[in-house]
Amino acid sequence: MKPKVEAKECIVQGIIETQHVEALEVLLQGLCGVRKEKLKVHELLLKSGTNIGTSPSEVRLLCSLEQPDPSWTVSLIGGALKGAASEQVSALVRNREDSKVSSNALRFFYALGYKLDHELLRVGFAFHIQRAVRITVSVTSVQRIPKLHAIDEAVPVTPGLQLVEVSAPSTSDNYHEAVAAISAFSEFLSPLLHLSKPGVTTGVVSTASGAAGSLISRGISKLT
Amino acid sequence: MPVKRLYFWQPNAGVPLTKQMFVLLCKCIEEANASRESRVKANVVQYRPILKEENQRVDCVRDFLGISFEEQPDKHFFVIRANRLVVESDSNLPSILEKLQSYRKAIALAFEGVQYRFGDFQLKVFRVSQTETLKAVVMEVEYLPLSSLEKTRVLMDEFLELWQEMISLKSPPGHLFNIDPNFGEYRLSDEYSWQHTAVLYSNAMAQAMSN
Repeated sequence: MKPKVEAKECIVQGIIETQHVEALEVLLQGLCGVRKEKLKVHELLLKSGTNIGTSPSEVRLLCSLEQPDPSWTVSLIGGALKGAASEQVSALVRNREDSKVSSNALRFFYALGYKLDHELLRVGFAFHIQRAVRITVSVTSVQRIPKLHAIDEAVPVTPGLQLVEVSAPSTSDNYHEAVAAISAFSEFLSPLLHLSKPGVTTGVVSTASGAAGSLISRGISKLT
Repeated sequence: MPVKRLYFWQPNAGVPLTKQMFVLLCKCIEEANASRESRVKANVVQYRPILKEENQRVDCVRDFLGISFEEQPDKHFFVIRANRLVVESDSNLPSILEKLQSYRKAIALAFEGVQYRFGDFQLKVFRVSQTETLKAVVMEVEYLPLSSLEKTRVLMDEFLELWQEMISLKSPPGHLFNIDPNFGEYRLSDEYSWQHTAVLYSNAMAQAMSN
C-alpha cells in the first residue's frame, strides 16, 4: 500500500535585536517585492486530560487578531524528522496540520477534556514570497500573558529581541524542495541574522549593526 | 442560505422499517411531478473518548458528532449535543482529531438519497444506514427563496400537512414527523446556515440510533 502523504512544515529560526528589525523589514521588502502583512496572533496551547487518550497530546489554537473579525485556526505540530534523514537537511522538517475553525473552538476542546497549558501573544509582521514553494518570513515579539486571556497586558518574553521564522508548507513527498528553497532564501538574510533549526542556539550576528545601517540608509534613499 | 427542515418517517405500529418505505416515499414525490435532480450523501460519525480504563470518571464529554455534507466538501461540522455546541471547521479537522488519539470513531451513519425539485422547494429523501443496516428514512425539505427561520415557520408547517395528505392517499404505512431543535440553545440566529443543518442531522443521528 502506498504510504499516506502527510502535511509537513519546514522551518528555520533566528533572533534579531529590535533595533535592527527596521533594516530587516527593508531587506525583506526588497526581496519579496510586496508589502508586509501585520501579525497579531493569540496562541493557546492545550493539553489533553490525564485519563483520556492512548498517550498525552497537545494542540494549539491560534486566534488572528489583526482583522476586525478574529479568525481561529487549530494547529497540530507533530514529531520532527529524525535520524540520518534529519541530519542531511538544513531546516527542521516536522508534521504540521492546520484547520480553520469557528470562534467557539476553545469551548469545543475544553469539552473534549483539554486544559489550557499556557498562552502567548505574537506581535509583528510577515512577508510571503513564492519560490518553488510559498515561503513565509515572520518577525515577531513573543509576549507572555500574565492573567488569563488578558492580551492587553502582554509583556515581551525577551525585551529587545525578536523572533524570526522562515517556513514553508510541504508534504512527506516534497520536503527536500521546500528545505532547499528556505536555505537559499535564508542566505539573503545572513548579514542581519543567523537562521538555524529551532532549538539550535545561534545568537545575534556581530556584523548586524553595520549591515542594518547600510540597509536603512539605502532603504530611505530608495523611498525618497 | 435557504431554510431546511428534516422529517422522520415513522412506520405505523407493528410495521417494520424497510427499504421499501424509502422507495414508496420517492415514488410519492415523483408522482407529485417533482423532478429528480441528483443523488445526495451526508455522513454522521459519533466519536467517543479513548479511555485508559473502562467506566472511569473523566472530565470530558461522553460523545460528540462529526458531520459532513457532500454539497460542502471543504467543511466539516461537530456537534456536542450535551453542551448544545456546534463547531464549523475546514474538512481536515477530523484528521487532526484522529492524530490526537483522545477520541475515536464509534458509530458511522451514512445518509444516501435522492434530490428532487418541487417548485420553490428542494426535497431530499435519505435512507440512513449503519453499515448495511437501515436505521431510518428521512426527508429534508428546503425552501429556496427564504433564509429566515421565523418567516418560513408557517409555510413549512403547511407544506408538511400537504405532504402528509398526499402520502396518506398513496397509503404507505406510516407518516412523517418533525423534531424541531431549539437553535437558540446552540446560539444560532434566525438566519439559516450550514451550522443549523449540522444540528438537524445530529438530531437525526440521535433519533435513528434510538430506533
